[in-house]
Amino acid sequence: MDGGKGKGKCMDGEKGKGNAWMRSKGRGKYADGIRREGDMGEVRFQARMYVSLLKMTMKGILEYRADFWISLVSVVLLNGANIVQISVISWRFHALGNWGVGDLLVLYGMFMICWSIFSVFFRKLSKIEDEIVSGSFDIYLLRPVSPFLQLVGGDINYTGLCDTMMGAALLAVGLRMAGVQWGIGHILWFAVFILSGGTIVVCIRFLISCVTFWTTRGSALSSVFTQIYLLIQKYPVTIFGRAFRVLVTGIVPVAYLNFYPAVYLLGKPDAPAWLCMLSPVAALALVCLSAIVWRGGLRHYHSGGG
Amino acid sequence: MRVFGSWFKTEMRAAGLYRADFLLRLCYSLIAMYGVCSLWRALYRQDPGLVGRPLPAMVTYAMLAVALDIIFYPSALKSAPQNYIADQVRTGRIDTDLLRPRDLQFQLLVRNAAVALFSLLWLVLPAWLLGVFFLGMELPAGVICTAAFAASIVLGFLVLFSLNFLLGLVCFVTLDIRQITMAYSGILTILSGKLIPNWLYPEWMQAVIRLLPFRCIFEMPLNIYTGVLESGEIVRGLLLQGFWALALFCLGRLAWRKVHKYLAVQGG
Amino acid sequence: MISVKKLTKTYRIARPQEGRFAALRSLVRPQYTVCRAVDGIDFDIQDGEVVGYIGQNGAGKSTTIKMLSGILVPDSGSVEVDGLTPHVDRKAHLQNIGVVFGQKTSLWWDVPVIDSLRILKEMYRIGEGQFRKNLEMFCGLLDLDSFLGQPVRQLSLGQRVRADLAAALMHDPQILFLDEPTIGVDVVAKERLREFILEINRERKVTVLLTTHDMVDMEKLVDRVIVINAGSILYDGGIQGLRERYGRQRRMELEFEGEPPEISLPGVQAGKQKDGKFVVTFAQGQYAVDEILSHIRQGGVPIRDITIQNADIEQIVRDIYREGGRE
Repeated sequence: MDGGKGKGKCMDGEKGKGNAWMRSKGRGKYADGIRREGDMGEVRFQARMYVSLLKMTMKGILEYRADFWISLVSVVLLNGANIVQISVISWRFHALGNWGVGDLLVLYGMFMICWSIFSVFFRKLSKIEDEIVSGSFDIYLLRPVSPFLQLVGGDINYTGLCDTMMGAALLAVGLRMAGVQWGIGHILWFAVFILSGGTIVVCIRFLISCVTFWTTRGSALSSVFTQIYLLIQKYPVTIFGRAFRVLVTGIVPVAYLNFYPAVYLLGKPDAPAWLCMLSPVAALALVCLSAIVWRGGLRHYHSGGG
Repeated sequence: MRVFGSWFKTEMRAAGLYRADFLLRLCYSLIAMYGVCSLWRALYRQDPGLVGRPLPAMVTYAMLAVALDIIFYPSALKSAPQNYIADQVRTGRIDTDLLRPRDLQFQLLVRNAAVALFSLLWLVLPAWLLGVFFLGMELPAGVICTAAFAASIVLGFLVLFSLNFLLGLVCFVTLDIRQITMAYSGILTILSGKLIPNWLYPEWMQAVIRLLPFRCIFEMPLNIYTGVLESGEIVRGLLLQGFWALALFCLGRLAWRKVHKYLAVQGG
Repeated sequence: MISVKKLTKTYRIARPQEGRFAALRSLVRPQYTVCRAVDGIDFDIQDGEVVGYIGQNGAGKSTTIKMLSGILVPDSGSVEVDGLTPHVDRKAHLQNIGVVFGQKTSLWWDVPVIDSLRILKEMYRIGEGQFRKNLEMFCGLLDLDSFLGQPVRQLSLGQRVRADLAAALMHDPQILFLDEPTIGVDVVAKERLREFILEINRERKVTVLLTTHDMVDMEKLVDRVIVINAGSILYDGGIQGLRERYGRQRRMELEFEGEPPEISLPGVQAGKQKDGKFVVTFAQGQYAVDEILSHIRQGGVPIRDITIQNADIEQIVRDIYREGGRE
């Protein structure tokens, strides 16, 4: 996200102003090297750094190992009430609108899988507030690697895989109950939906966190989103009013996490197919917005604790 | 009473300091209210007979449940007894609570009551007003209903507090109560009538629920508010709530005394 | 090397509002108090200088350092470090500088120090040979060997700052920014840090800009002092100059063979300290020592012992802060 601004002007050897020590061999090679590598080289470098950072993080995490099984139990417990609610409603009313219990489970499962992309790899985004307030965000700006990658590289939450597993299980059960046969096209679209959905969750959380660059407080905003997530996770968007549907489709496109994918994959009449296929577009738009906000945020950054 | 006032003021000040947060909390409730409102409308459109209540009463029930959730939310508050005790045990500061002359259970009750009253006035009430004006919520069925509803909320709060306090004491047995807390909130959500009205459950489940205290927290006050209970039933409901509140409170007291003695023997 | 012109940074702090609908108003149209953390400062630092940057807490020291290192974007004015504008050419700039914050570590908390250094090697694309050479040198000078394998959270503060210094210098920067590097470190460790900084400056011609509250740091390390107060520079020059310009107060300690006499000269303060010493302070230009002494002798009490001191740097700095630069 931070791009490689000013690559070309990087480190001309001559700038060392007669400091012999500066022009040591390794340094000179690097200064030349970066210029020839160009954009692709920069991307590869950032990617390599992200992997290295994750390795470091894992080393650190092993010191406080969270129990995988306990986390799995927690995930089941946390989602238990919602699952019970879905089953009771389906049992009493046979369906919610034209959504049967299988369809509702697909809705729920898709959401959890998209969410788990955030919770495994990008959980650190929800810590931006703390990092900014404590001033430890400064450190990211002192190293020649994208601050965004340094931030997200600082945490990996393998217990988030419990979300993925539970989501996948619910999805499998739901699909079987709904009795849908998948072709190769469905599988490809499924992959696209999950990736776009994951991107949307990450970007929204990221944008909320970026609010702290301006206000230094943002936690309550995220709880409002939690509530919206709760609604779209359990219920098909069509039961809500028009304004809400426009909100979750066009403004904060969270309906692309599960509703539109489910409509497409289950062949529901709730929305036209082209609208469902806009999922990657929504994701891309949010990525662009995030990049802009991030740049603005860094410009506006008031380092704390000083 | 003075302690109550000071906690109330603290809460007030915090809300004043983080006003944006405060408004967002209200927003949070309104979205949830809008959600359940839409859900029940959709189900009602589908089959009015299966809901078992007229639509306005059902919508009112569901939305009020979500609004009351702000004061009854089991695990969000730092000052909630289970969170407070867990925190004190983990950091080893529980000793200081033992040394204080005041009774811990009572103190926590006062503090939580202050927080709850504050939330009631500044969050639940506005949410309720907005619900009445914009989301089609009904007013209480009459003066007697309103009074009974107020009493029922207080008793429901006491039941919830006593349960939370007991949950907190589990810390002394297992140290880490996070998983138990999750299970507990799950059970509470399902059996208290908050998410799904109990009359929609299968018969056998309703029978189980009738034996448990959880329905005193949400179902009772909400049923009283929506006016589905006759006056005899209201009195019986209040008595039941009173019974559970008293029993659980005393149980908590007993358990705390046991813990107190145990810790004294252990030397803190 | 470093050139700062008319540099300004202001913060806006949201002001709580009073009265009815205050919550709504502060959401819709927040009001701010503007705080000028750095207010139009200028200075230049040459190659190989060691410059001390001092001022009270909140005077704008850290803000300046953060703008110089590219963390903060200035509101107006220009910063140039080795021909680069820090916040614009961030990555190239970071290759030129090393930064140490005494109060927070830039190392990874839960992994051994050596692992942190290794990942920094990757980040700064340091060659293996250069890395080895530097590691060896820093191990020698900073005695890193004893804790290279320990995670940072287990290090003492002194060890941590040493590890941070090594980390900041691994990529051979020409410029080193140190923000209160010796704060909270014990006396012995402080001395070692100072020696190391001097060594780096001498051997590698690294330009150093450091902020500190420790006046011993100033006396031992620094060729030049920049004093900042409320966002503006009060003084920029040598330590000696600082003394001459502001250190006009002299201090005389006396012991008498009996009750000390009354001293009533305008502009002279005299009196018994808590520790029983009788102290007289006066402005250097106003009185000669002899004038004061002859005045005291008029009282007739014999003097047993006498010491005369210049005000120390700490005293001078305190005076500057108090006067706010009035002369």
